[in-house]
Amino acid sequence: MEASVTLAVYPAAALGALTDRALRESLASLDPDAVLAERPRDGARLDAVAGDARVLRAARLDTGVVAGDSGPQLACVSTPRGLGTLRGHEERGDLDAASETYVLSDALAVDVDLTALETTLDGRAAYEDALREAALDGSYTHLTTNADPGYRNDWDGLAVAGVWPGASETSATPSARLAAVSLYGDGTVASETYDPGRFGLRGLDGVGPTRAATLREAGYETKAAVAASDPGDLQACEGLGATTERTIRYSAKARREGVAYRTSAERLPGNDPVFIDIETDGLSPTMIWLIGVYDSRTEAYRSFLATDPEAKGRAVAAFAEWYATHACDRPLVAYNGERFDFPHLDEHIERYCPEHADAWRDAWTFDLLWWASTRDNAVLPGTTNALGDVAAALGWEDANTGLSGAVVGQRFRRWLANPSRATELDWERHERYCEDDVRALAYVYEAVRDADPVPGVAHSDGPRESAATTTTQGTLGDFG
Amino acid sequence: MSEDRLARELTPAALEATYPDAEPDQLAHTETVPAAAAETVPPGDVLPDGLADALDHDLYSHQAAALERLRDGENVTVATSTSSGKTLVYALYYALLKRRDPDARALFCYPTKALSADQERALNDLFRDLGVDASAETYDGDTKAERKPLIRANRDVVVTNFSGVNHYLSNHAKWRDVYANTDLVVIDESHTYTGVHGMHVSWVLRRLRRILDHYGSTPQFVCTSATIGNPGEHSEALVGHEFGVVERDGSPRGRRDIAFWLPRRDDDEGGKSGVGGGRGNGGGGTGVGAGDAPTDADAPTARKRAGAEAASVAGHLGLSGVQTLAFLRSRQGTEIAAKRAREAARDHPLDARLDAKPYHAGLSKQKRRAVENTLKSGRADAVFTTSALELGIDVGGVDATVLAGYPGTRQSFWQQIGRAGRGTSDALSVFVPRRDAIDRYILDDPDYLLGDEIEDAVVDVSNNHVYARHVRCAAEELPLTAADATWFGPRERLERAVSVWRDAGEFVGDLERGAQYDGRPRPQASISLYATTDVEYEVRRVDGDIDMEPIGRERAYRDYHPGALVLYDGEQYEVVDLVEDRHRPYVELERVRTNEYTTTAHEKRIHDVEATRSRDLGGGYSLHAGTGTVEIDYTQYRRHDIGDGTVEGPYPIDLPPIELRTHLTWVELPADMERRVIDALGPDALLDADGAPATDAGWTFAGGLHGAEHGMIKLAPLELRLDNSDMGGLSTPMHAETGAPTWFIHDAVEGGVGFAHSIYDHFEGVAAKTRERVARCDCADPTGCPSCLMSAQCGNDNEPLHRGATTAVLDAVLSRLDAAGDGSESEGSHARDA
Repeated sequence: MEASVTLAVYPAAALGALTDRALRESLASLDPDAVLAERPRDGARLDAVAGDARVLRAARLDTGVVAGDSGPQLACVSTPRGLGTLRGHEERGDLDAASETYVLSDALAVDVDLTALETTLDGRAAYEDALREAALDGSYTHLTTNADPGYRNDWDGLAVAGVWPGASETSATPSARLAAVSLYGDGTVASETYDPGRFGLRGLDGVGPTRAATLREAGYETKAAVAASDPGDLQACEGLGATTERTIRYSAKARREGVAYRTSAERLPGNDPVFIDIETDGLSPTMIWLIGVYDSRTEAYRSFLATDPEAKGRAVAAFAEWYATHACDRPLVAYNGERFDFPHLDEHIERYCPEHADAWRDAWTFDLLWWASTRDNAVLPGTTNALGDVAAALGWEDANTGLSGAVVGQRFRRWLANPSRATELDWERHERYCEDDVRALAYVYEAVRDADPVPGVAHSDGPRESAATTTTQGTLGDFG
Repeated sequence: MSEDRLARELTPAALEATYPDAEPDQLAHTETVPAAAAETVPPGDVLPDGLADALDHDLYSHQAAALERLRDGENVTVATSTSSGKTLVYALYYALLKRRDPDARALFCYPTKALSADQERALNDLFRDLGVDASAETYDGDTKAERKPLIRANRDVVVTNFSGVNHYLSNHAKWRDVYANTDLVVIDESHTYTGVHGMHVSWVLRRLRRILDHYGSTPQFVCTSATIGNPGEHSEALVGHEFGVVERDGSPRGRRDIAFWLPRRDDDEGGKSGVGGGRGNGGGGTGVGAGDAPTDADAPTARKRAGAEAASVAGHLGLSGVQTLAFLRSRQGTEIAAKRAREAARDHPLDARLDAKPYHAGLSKQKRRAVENTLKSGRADAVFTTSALELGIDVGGVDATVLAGYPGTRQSFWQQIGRAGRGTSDALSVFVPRRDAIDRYILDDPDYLLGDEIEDAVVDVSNNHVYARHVRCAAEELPLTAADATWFGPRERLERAVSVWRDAGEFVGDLERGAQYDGRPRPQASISLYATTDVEYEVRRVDGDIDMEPIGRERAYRDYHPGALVLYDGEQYEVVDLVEDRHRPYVELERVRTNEYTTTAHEKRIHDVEATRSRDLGGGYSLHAGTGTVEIDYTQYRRHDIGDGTVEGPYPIDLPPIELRTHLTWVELPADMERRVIDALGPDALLDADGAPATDAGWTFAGGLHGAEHGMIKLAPLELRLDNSDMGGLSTPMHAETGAPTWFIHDAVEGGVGFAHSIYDHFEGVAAKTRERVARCDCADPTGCPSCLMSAQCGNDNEPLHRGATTAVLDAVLSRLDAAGDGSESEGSHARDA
């Protein structure tokens, strides 16, 4: 994995929703190099549990380098004038000139005025004056507590990114979420926000604030304790039925043991599924430029890549052709495909290769995430249901490409806007990244297929299927 | 008194003669709309044989005219009376399209879910009767998830509403088959899309047209509208297409008598009027919440509330065998009136049981359906409804309607009146006026209702706040390119919207290569089709539930600051908290029973004024439309006891000022205007400045400006279909930027909604009606009354106001307008988009 610095951000509303155990669990999971707290007393609480991570107070960001010895580094400035001191750090060699440096402050704020149709960066003039005066050599990205994580904009050379959940005026992340902002040496900022409820007992399926309190009162303070409970134990808690109890316990066991459990008799589509993932230039894409395909029948991986901005339909057309010829009788599996991959493939096949549209309309598409999570057919491990989290929890080791979907999209857009050597992507590296995701999906699919059912449920997928279940569900044997 | 006289002779005179203990002057006025014969056309003239044969009746001339224009490929607006068979126009035209192309599909959009359900049944019956192989099904928030894919895959006609369309556009890939085959889009009751709501719907329609175009569809549009002043212009603004207008009504009607019926005198209550208190606009919209405006307490003649009298009249009609539909202003009002009518029936000389039921959107579906059925079958005696039964839900015909107060527009008035009359039989409508300025105006001048003029419906798409948020949705639906200036242009405006969102971190890319949405999922969900900004305050109760739409910030600050008393659905509440330091701000109410209401004082400034259009009237008079920044600081409030008139307070309000960049219309007057007005009034008519920082003359002149501002806002709904609680004003004998005596009228929502500008467009009419009402008001008070100048929304305690000075100011401006004619306008950059 490429070196990165991770900043974890705990707004007061998010921190307040975490018990001490859940807070520790979140820190263990996010593994930050620095932690940003909102109020002074939050800082004190975090100091006690943050271990090696440096705890910063949003209300008082002292100027100085706070994380990273080499590679990407994180510094803070209390006011724009603090930028001048970074010059000293540069001269002393404290800052790695070959790598991006990130400067965190509250000096910049994004102000959206919809009536005037104008977005301005408040504080920009003073900040740029101070920057000019500091005459820094290195490459810098300026982080602000006054914009959401995921916010990124280049203000005529001033690269600004946000870190604070709920800070943006429009379309803000709920402020009761916490954020992990990973900072890479090439200027890539990858952000993820989390519902604090994912940590601690509330991260279990079927457990909200009330049930979490009930469980704690009954002495179940950790997921491990819940996982270790015997059937019937939790039912002693008020208001828990047998089915709910089972869901809660097996959700805890899944998280604890790093395995999946099947909670219904619903079958997965057998029949040699084909696993896919698409790379696009954004969330409502103008171009699907890479489609990774893993065929479980031949155990072969292939990718359909189109790098020419003028040939927007090339990858899609090649894929549709391959699918129609080789796999149209088999299920096509994507992770979160219902929301992303499938509708965009629909759209682009219709637009660029309508000759394959009929075959594509009959395609048997299957969204593993939707099936497991939305349809409640399985409990998955992982801090979130993102593919990377689930696969990692199940034991998948990723290929350390150092890329993420958002970053890949961003880089491809830069290439689209101005195809040149400077903007050209390392195509091979991106193909590897895509392949890694597709193989991770196949891995998760197999883990779910082979997962034990919770007691009282029988499913007939995978090698564990017993003679009895095969008999009772024999008519489903030719499913599909 | 003959007991069945009313059933035999449904006239105002019979009502007066049979009404128990009628007072001599209750029947204040009568009007008769004569019967009209049907104008019909044989269906074979406009329909092919197969369809024409299936119809067992002739078409009305307007139906035939509309079908003819549709067959010529036009988009058509049909603006004819209630129950004139508008549904048949688009149902037949769809049947025609379906015969041409069996894959043809259609989207029928209705303003309410109740109407969708009703029309779905009617459409399927019609298709069956016509032998058309087509089916319609409702797809909205109530549709079960498992039905949805089936409807998208199989139903010829998808029946829905615009709130649904706003959301469904995000999933257009799932709708491919519908969108790719949509040949017809119907916008039923299109006159309901005005103001803020109309502006949102017009953008949803542009987004819809863009997606339809993406799938290769360029459908025809049909709008059906109640009679409004500008049906063609309104449809064009709403949809962005040209429309042919069919408004010559060929349907028959019986003779219709309208009785203007004053409430009984209320000797017991004296001047107190029995109003629950609270602000007239407390319900979050005109017509919602308040019964009579509470300021009626000061009205010169004490009569019973309009709602109480309407209950009594409807009960009397029902008992006399006349099936009656009564329109009340609030849900609670319908419940109270139904109860009151049943109780009153026990003391009624006819001594019979009265079947009286309430009807409103708060009732369960089953209850509503049951009431609709008793109406249809003629079994109900009296039904008390909100405007819910004003729109096209089929209730068959009733014999009589009763209106408790003027519903706000002539179009609504006629729509409600039009509910009476079975086929061509005679019908009676009873209008019971309230005591606010508009009802009074109508009582003074009944011809107003009967003239040809009907209010214009205002749809304005210049509000950038609303525009930008729909552009954001559009980018989520499909990447935006330069070609999208067709829907969201001009190009320069679209470029700015894209750049605003890119700098805000929510878009990536540009119009050359495609601007994509990159923010949190589903930006559609943040759009409320009823507000201009996405900051909405949820309304909660500390002691129970309240079913109320969220309110915008401006209204929250004005009417829902802690300590404010609020009337909603006939119940009184006190605001206990306003919480806004979080993602979803809210106000919290507590149910109270008090005999008080509150008034809120504010300080207002208007600055950074920019005119986009002006009319120089000469002699120092000029009229302007443009934009400006309105700064309102709600500073304190008072509690008024309705019983003894005592006032407590002021109490401070701890809220920061609100700043709105919004639409303005203003009038600048010559510097010596004060002298002219005072000369015209004479020295005896002056107000006593009494401690105010002005001379008596200055104070009186200020009362004229202030009165003109108030009066025009109060009476604007006589000319325009607008919500005057979304407007405000400011008057000043010397404004720093205009450098002249000035009065402003402004929209009270961020970005503007077109109301103030439409007053500019109709200035003469509004000013003339205001002048007339103020001059004719029978209040003896030179400072006016709630029926002419006083406003419950005044931030200045209705001071100073002066009737004589108001008419003098208005007279001067009107005579200038008259002299200047139409040629005086000069354009800056016209703010509205075509």
